[in-house]
Amino acid sequence: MEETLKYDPKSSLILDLVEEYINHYLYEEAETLLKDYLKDSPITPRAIKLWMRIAELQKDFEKYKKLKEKYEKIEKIYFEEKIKVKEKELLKGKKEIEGIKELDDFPFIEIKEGIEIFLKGLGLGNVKKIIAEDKNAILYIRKNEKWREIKFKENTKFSNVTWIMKSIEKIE
Amino acid sequence: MKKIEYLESIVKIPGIRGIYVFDENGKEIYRESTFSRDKEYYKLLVESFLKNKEKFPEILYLFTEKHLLILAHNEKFFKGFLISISFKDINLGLLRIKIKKFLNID
Repeated sequence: MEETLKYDPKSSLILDLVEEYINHYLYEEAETLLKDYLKDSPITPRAIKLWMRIAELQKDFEKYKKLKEKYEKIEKIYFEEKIKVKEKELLKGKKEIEGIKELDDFPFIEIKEGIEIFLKGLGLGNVKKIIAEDKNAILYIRKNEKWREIKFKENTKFSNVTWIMKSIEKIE
Repeated sequence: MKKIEYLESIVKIPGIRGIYVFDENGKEIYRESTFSRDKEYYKLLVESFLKNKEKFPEILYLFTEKHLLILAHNEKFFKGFLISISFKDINLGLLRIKIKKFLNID
């Protein structure tokens, strides 16, 4: 029985084909195929990279520049997403964690200015992580101007809090 | 062990760059620091902390790229305010225990 090959425009294998077209100097065909693929598929760093290569080989430097800007934005989003997933995996099932939430501003706004002036004056840089130790320990981690709050249950050992802080630091 | 002796033992921990202690009115009662021009910068921090200290946890650990700033108070025994500056890789367990003990000395 004869086997028939089906063309799925959403398949990521299309990107292999695009690469193949580029390697055979078929830049216009490669670009058309890539644009068709991107109509239905999410834009990925690989797809943009291939598009940049086409633009470079076509000596369309204006297009290359625009695509490069797009690539940098997408790469940043992908990187942040990757970190988020890894963090989620790390924190999943940790019994000592009571809750996690995102904050728009510095967690201790009343002393923000005082801390900033103090640290800047002594040349010590910006605050990146905070542990608040009281009845419940709370860990705050700064991510792209936002703060993530990880609240621990009462009586959680301080060493567990610092362990989680260091583990998150390693992901970065 | 007296409060002052405790502070002196904190200063001896390798990695400490400064310890500042203020009373409940913000008056400096202890200062040991490796920074030469720190006095002009901690005034606002002390004022804003004393104004809002009921909103703050007993110990606040603030980590920068290379340093650790600790702000501590305790309403029961130590009603003032303690600031510690050290390198981030200090023996945090030891520093924490010493600060906690200092805060709880009657």
